[in-house]
Amino acid sequence: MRKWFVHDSDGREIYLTDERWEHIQIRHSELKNRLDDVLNTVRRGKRRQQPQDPQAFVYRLRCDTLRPPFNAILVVVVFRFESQENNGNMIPNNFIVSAWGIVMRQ
Amino acid sequence: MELEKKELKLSNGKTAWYEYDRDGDVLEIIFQPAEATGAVELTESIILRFDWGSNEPLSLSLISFSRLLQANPYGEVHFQLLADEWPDEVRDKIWPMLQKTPLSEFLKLSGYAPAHTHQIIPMATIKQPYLMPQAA
Repeated sequence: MRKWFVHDSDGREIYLTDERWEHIQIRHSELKNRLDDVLNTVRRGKRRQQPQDPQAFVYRLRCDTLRPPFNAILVVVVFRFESQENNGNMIPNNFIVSAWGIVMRQ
Repeated sequence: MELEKKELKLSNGKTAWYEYDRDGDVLEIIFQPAEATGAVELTESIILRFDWGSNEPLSLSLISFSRLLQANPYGEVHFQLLADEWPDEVRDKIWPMLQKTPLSEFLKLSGYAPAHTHQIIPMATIKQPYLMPQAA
């Protein structure tokens, strides 16, 4: 499975699988062929913790090149842990769940 | 990425369906499989996609879904609507949408009046959790 890796503004490594990227493009067509913009939202976007889930965060960034009226991208990232197969150590498993084009007040 | 899917019968006789991504804990309720021409954050955890021309809702996405429905000692949880972040022309579309089916079958509007202020803060409660998948 192909993955794209990106670091947010605080250096956290986050990945997006091609399976999830395909799903995003099919379901949220305003982001079709906008992979760089989605990854850039994680790199440079404003980060907000979800009030009900401390492991889930939203990244938002204005993007004025989307088809109107969309003018921003919202990306949901979950920060989890998984155990390594060889030694059972827990390692971060931070991945993009989905992304949407949205309309925000200018 | 596995999606749990289920059809939902709405009170107007139409069919919607949900897709639940258990790994990501995102639930999407789809009313029409059309291409959205507008979308907003209704609350910090709910995204509404809609048709800009017809003002018809197309889907609701609920982020951290299993947490949104967790019981609390005070009864229903009311989530603040992010109305201040919606452009004026979007507000004019959203309010009527929220007050009729299908959105009114999933969200109940209310207002919160904080002490020592005249401001009323718009809120929404998630309805019909019995239609939804079990919490992760």
